[in-house]
Amino acid sequence: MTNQQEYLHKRVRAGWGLLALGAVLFAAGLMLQFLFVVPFNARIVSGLGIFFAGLGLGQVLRYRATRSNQQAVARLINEEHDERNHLIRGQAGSRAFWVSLAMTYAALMWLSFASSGSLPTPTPDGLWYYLAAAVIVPFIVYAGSILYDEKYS
Amino acid sequence: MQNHLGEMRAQKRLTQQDLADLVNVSRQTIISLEHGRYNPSITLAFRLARVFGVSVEELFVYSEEDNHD
Repeated sequence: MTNQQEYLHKRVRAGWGLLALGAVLFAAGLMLQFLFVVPFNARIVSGLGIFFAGLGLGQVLRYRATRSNQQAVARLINEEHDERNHLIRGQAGSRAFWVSLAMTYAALMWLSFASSGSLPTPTPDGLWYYLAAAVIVPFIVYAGSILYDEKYS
Repeated sequence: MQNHLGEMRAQKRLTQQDLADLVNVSRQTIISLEHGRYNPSITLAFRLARVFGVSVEELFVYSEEDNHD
């Protein structure tokens, strides 16, 4: 087996692993939602399962589609190890990190002032939306940064 | 940084994809290099120079202004 084929098999196996993990989490989420009373929204677990299953399925399909074509495999591997792609992802990660840090810091400041009565105490709903934004906004920055740099760098 | 990648590639009658395959990068990286939008790592610069049988200095033209990139 060549190094390329070995690499390909590893990635396909990792894809199946993610898919299996996603299926287990999805099933666990459904069980928690319908069979047990839990003090949190069980859809978070099944949602995470769908996310992992989607990642795994995408990976399996992507690699299996190229396995009969050596040149396509080589190009796929080249793209994954491409230094410019790594640079773009690194920069995007750095930007997303700073946005995430700024949002967390802003929340920390707000809560500090709220505890001394200088600012209103956040409601559970408000806090939930802010935390959701703290997850989504850095991801949008990451994805947007990749798209921008792919086009202009 | 300026470079002669496009001309040398054309002289060798290579497509961007051919060159990308030869130096193990994506075609988009070759396009960015040719447009001067991306400066390669030293390893990639040497790999490209070897493909064309020239020195790195013959392929890439460094000027002091590039220092601010």
